[in-house]
Amino acid sequence: MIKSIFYSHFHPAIGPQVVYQVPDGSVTTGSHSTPPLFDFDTVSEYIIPKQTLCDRLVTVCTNKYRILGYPVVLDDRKYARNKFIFNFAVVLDEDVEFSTYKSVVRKVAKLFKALEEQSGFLSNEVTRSGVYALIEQVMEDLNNYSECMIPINESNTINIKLFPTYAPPPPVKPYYVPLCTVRLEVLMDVNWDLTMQKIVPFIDGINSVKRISELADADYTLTKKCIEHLLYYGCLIMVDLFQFSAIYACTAEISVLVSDTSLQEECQLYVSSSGPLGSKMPFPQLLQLYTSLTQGLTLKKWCIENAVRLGGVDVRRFISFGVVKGFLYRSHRYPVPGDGKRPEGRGELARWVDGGRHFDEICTELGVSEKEVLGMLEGWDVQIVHR
Amino acid sequence: MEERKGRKKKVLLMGKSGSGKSSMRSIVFSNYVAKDTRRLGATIDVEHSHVRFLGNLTLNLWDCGGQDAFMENYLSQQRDHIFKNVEVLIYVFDIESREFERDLITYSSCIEALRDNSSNALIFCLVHKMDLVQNEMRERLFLERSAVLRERSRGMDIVCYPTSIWDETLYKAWAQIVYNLIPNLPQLESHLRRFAEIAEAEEVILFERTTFLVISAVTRASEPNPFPDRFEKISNIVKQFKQSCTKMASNFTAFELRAHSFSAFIDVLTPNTYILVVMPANAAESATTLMNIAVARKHFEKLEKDSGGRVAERALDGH
Repeated sequence: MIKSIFYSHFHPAIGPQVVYQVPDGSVTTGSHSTPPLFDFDTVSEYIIPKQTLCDRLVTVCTNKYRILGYPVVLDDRKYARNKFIFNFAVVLDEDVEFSTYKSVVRKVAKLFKALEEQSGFLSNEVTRSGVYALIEQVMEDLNNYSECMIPINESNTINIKLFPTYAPPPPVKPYYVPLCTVRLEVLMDVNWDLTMQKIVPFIDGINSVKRISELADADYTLTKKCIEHLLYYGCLIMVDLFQFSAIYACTAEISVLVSDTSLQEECQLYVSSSGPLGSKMPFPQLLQLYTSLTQGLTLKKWCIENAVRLGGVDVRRFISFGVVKGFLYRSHRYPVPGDGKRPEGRGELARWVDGGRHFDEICTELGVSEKEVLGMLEGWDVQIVHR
Repeated sequence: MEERKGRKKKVLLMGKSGSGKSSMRSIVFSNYVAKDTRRLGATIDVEHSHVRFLGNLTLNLWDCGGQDAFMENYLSQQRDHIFKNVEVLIYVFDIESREFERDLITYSSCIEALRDNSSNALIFCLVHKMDLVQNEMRERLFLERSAVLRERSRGMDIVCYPTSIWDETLYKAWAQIVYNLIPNLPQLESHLRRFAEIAEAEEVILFERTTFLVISAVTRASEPNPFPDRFEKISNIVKQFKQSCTKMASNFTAFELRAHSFSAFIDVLTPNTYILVVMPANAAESATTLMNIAVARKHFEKLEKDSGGRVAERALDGH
């Protein structure tokens, strides 16, 4: 929510001056009794700054508010002091996500800069008087509809739309296994990217990114890019390669599962091997199964130990539910060269044995099973580290 | 800390917006000629500049934007920040101001703030843009204004100068201001006098190198010179000549003039100073005078360095 929008400029005799503000009295007190959101004088050097800060986005936080501005300076002999400095600033709460508003402030600044250059829109008091109505409308429309389209004159319009922005997704590794959170095949239509259309059928929570590209016969870099896009929009989450040789253990998050009954129900439905309509395993038993996963115990051994209790449980879903919800973590196995140095020679494999890569990565890169890698490592001075 | 205080002198430049503070500063310290100042924009808040002036003296110049909003800010929120540790306040008045009474109120508030924070500061009031006043009115108007200013200075001592960027009065005022800031000046002057005597010069004038402000002058001529403002005129002329030199991509280094009644030499003395030596006609070959300057050079350089070192020593003692 925008708290205030104000237009300020440098007055040759008065100095930095707030000319128009919506709502009235939000920046400087006029006839209003309510105190302004912040003290303009203390931040004015960032609103109407020296030349060095002009023509760029300037953000300043004060009194729990964030002021986003884009001071513009125009040099021309026609101005009283050879310069005209103005700023359309947006005031937000300090703790709200503000990246979407950056482009808004930038756009408004550039638009009015052009208008001023063309016709002296802001330096002419007659045309300037329309600014109040404009910023009032911008604020109202953006707060209510997240977009606005306001004509200024016959050839200029303020067109703004607020787009949500997300943080860039973490880098995608070939051994990651994407798991859909939405039904992509329903969303997809013929206009989607070709690689995307090829790979989507293979995203099933089992195949790794590398394997998907192979199965779909798609270029790996393009596949990776598609996956990153899907990840950015939250259509995917990443789990790890499901293997019976893998080791899992509980994190402290397990306590959340114990206290959250709706999560328990979700868990019961998800892990059931006979689908959501099938029989549900009682939760205490599920919890017991989760907590019995510990360091040093491979999934294979665990399955054998708990064979009796695992009836009606899909082990893969059981594990991925835990990983996705964050109360299980994978304990990876790293081959570490004994002398701390990478073994020389020994072909392709040696490149990957530097202590920083775990078996999942090595296996995916080389396209062989863990067993084969272990076989190849036989006779090397290599320690296997779990972490 | 003490050493820094000894070397850096905080100089406040204040006055109403558009009174000509930045223009002055640009001419005196940044090699602008008067008409270049038309291109200057308004000063936003305070613009700081450090001007090295002689070996051991740095002017820390605070050019304070004079718009009402800034002025209010200086006197309230930034009061301490602005008015603490001030060595010199230069307050500029626009002679053409239509609101002199209002200017005086702001001025008094500034003086009060200065008195509270830096009671030992020197105050100079420049009644500026004198070129806009008819010649015969200038003297009277200036005296009138300075009387009023003195009255409104809350008991602080002030010195007033009439100035204009279009003539040498600017150099006169600034030379006087800077004169007050130079340490070990009596020593420098006595050496300069000795030099004048030895070289048998009629007049010797020491200029600061970048600003070309007069630092010190020794006159030995028997008759009084009919042009009392000749030093400032020379400052002004040389400064403009230097400016033309830069346009031709060359540097001004030295100057020699031989007239029928005198000869004059301008030459580099120390890394921070120029010297002007005026010799009576036929007193000596010009080569002799130039040699005298060359010999004196080493001596004055040492003098400059020593005085710098002494400040540092004093600072060490203080710790």
